Amino acid sequence: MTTEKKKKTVFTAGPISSAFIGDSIQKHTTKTTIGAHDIFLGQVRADVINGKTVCCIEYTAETEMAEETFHVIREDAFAKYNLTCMHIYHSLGKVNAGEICLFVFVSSPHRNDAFEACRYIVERIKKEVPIWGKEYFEDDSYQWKSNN
Amino acid sequence: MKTVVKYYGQLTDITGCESEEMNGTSLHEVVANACHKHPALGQCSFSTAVGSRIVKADVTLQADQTVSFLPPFAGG
Repeated sequence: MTTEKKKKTVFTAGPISSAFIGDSIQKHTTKTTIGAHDIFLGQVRADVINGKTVCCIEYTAETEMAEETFHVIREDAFAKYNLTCMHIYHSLGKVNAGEICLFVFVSSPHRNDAFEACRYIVERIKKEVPIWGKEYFEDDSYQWKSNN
Repeated sequence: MKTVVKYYGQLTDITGCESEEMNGTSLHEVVANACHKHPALGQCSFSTAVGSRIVKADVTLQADQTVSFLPPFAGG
């Protein structure tokens, strides 16, 4: 018998809506061992670069590798912190400035694990998951996003 | 042996394609041939994956394996 947990689908087409985020929070009201949630929301910035403003980012990924990497990050976070549950969603395709492209939702009995795990997961996503972003300007020119 | 190579992110601008076939029986041979065909590729930072695993060392490629060229990640 395999003990491997089912891999969760992380990618979602387009922006992540506030309604989806609200629903996700609502779904946890029945999980009463949880005492703390921490949420990270990545939002597309309208950076001004050489006088041109970013209007959206188009995300692409090596999806099979990315899903596997998300799974490893999830498993590592569960092993490292006392977590009740965890949800990760990342956009693919175009996301306009001001819209949400990354939603990390971590729940734990106590706040310290939630705080620390959320940051740990976000930093690993930025560093290890094969995702790329094409930053489009208002005149349809573009540059490739780089993470700091 | 022909191997399918895939390019991602900014590397698709440099190569002008997302995928193509490249000669080579080892990872390093395929990378060298790709950089020879697309000289600007050699100036870029990228990692390579065989199938869905990032591989740095040279490895012999199997007939059905795909080599991916992955520029620095930029999620979030």
